[in-house]
Amino acid sequence: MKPIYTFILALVLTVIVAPPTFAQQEQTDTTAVPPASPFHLKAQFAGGIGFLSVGVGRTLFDEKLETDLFLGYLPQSIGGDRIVTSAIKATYVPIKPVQIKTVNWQPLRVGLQVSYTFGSDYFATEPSDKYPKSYYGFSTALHGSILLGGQVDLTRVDRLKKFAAYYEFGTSMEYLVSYIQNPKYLSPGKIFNLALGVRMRL
Amino acid sequence: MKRIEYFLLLGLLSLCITSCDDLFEFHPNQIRLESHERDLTAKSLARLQQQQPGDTLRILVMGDTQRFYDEAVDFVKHANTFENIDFVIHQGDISDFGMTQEHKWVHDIMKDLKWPYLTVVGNHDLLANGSKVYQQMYGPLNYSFTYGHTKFVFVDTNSREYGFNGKVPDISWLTGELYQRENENFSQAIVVSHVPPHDGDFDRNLEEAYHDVLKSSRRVNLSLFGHIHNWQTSTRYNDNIVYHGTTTVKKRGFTYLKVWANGFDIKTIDY
Repeated sequence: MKPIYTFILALVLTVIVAPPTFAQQEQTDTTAVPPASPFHLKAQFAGGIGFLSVGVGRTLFDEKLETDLFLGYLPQSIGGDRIVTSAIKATYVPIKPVQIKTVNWQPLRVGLQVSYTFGSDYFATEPSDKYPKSYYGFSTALHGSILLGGQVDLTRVDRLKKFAAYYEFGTSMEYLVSYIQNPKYLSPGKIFNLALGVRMRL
Repeated sequence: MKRIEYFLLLGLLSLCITSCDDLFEFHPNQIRLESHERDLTAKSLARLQQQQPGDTLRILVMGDTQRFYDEAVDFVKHANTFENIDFVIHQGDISDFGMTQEHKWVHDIMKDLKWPYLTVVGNHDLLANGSKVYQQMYGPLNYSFTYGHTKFVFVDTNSREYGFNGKVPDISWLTGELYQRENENFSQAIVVSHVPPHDGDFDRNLEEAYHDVLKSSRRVNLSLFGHIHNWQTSTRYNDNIVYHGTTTVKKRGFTYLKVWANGFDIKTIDY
């Protein structure tokens, strides 16, 4: 269970620290304005990975793709159980941002997330000493989610240029499968939940 | 992008926000319950105390709702067409992934039953932090109550989830429950579990002890179980104790059980 997770983590870190080749090209023609850093920090409220989570990530392909690594915490007083979660997220921005006065609005962002819940209550793969092969056929520690959202960049706001606020509707694969199999009782409103966050460019 | 388009998108966004039932979810394994979603076993037993049991008890037995919500809705609709039912038994595996939200959805469906419903914990309900979820939402994993002439004993038999540690099912607790105490008055007992003793998920070292407790109490003629997603009624230990398994709601079936002082009648119902 742990090697898989380490591999995923390593993969993300490789992407994050890889040199941004396209940014170097930009440097030659815009010497006056330093290029925006592809790296950022995020803080997020809710979204299935804790009450509060913090993330680090970078943009790729002319800001069309974003990858993040999150660590989230849910205290027992709020969640009924103390839960620590980490997650990797990839977000694709298919539409160009809309300029509204001093801000830029990304009206559509679609993403995929894989989260890992820490603790002995959860298994990434079924422990072979406890269950016959494929007894349950799912993981209780790893959850995939699909995300749909948007972001407001404070691009032309004095002193807040580096900041953006985002919102994200997400649902886990477990909920999605449940909805597909139970279209009468379940609905998108029942399975999608909202996450809110801020992003700061480095 | 035109002004009208982003107003449309903003409208869509507000629609999304307002249509979400629980707008924020901090974690799929969070245990956040409304007060009407807590201590459901105690609440159902309180309702039972208000009822007057007759000579014949009428009970509907269903289970293994897992993630089959539409079928569970249909069960409730069909069950509510019956009359003079005392209570409903859910045979466990209320949830599929052991997540609180699943339990909440199933309760949201089951609360529309005209009668109280009681649950026994299933192996799926113990996944992740499901044991905590079950205890906060329903109550103890082992419990019992007497209704009319019969004592009902609900026992956690999901041995595999505890790594066959020899403590589940709790044989000494079960023995105590089947022994008539001074303040108790019951002529027979029905034992309700999720996993039956003859199943591979039941502790092999406890199978014999479990059945022996039922037999030596001389009060048990019937034991109910779920788990196998099929119908199964047998007297497999060459005595008079009947083990009756009810199929899953996914297969759209439930049991209509009548219990009187010295006997019972099992009817399987398809819907």
